[in-house]
Amino acid sequence: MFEFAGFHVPSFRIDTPSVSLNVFDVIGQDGEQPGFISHTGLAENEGSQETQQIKILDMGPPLHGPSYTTTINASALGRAELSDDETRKIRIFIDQHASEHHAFQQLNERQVLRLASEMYCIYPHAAPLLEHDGRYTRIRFSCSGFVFEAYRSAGINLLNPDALPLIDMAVIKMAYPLEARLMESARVTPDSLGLRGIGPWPVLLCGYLLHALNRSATSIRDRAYTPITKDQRFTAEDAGA
Amino acid sequence: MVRSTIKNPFDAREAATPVSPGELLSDLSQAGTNAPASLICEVELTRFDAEQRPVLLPLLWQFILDHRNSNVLDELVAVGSAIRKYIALMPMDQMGQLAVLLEPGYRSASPIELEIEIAKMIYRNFEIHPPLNPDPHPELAQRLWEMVQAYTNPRVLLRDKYSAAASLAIQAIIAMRSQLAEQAWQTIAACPYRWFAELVSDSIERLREAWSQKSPDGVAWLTALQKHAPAHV
Repeated sequence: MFEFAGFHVPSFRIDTPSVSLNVFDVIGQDGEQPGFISHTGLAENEGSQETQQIKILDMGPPLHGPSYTTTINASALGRAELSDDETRKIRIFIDQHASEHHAFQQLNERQVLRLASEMYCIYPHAAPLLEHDGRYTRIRFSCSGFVFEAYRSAGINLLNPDALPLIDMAVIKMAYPLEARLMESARVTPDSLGLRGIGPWPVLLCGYLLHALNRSATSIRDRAYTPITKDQRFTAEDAGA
Repeated sequence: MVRSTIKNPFDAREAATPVSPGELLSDLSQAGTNAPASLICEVELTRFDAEQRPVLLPLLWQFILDHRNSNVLDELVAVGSAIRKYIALMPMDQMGQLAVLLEPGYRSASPIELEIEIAKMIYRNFEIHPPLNPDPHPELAQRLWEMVQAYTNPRVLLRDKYSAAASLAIQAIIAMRSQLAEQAWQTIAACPYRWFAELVSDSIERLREAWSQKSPDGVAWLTALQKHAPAHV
């Protein structure tokens, strides 16, 4: 499905050794199960890049901003055909937040483990790290939350965060395997990552973003997508559907 | 420039040993202005109690003053960390003290990254605690205004990070209910870039939301300010 008026390409699975990117395309990476998107970030550069080593800005943790970029083995790509103005707003959003997270690059493994929940949250997708009186030094994001908020700063509400499917701990473990290991070993509590009670929780998953982008450029901007449970996965059948 | 070698922080096998805020404070007191960047960054992420905060603040302030002109990346990251923590904990009535960090002509120009952190944290403090009276720190507002004037120049605004600094400086001036707010707001009208006006306008809407339950006076003042909205917002 191509939208020739704007040459819009819907989200697609990447099955080639290289891929042509636009700046801030949304890149998804499969988890252990093919099609289940467990990580996401924003393409740092435009042009052709090797699929296995795409440079991205993401909430690792820590957040990899400009000059701290990391690479990802990409499985899927979503594109909104950003205008120059939208691109600039996203860049400013990143500039305003990245330095808060650069500090984590200074920590050793022991410190990072102990402070994991000060860097990252699963639910909600973005939350300030509060001091005693409500002031805050940083915004914590989940990986999908970082991408969602970056686009929202450009006026693109990819999806409705107040209408997300509920997911249980089994899905959390698929979506956040590293955090799940930390919870299992009692190094962080589910509470500290925002998972209060026994669940299920309306967590913003990476796959939802690719489905949100799997629409016309006009729809992406006109109407926030409402994800359904099966949108946790983004498969070849979903691509261009 | 040394960067962390952490590839995947959650993969470490060793158990994390808790360090109490008191121990961190003691380490920082001993290290003084030579504190390693990792210690400052850990301090930023730690919550201190009412007795510890007055001990911590002067240590952070001295670290900021001593290292703000560093050209070592790791040190600047640590200074940014110290700035955020210091401003988030400092008494609101002493925020005027921050003007010294934005003074032009001190040894060398402040790195833009640090100016971003300062302007952002000033905004955040007043977002959470709206000023009880307008224009509580005129000298600080003046320093921010100088940033606005310098960075909204069309030849500068498009450069990396300057638009972030300029928008945050305007937001901070407005959040302080400074006398310079109207001038800052009008600066947007003169700016040739529509995206910049939209960006600041959106942030002021978020400020209105944040103040809606806390400061009826502040919301009324914002409404009056926005009546002078730039034509293209």
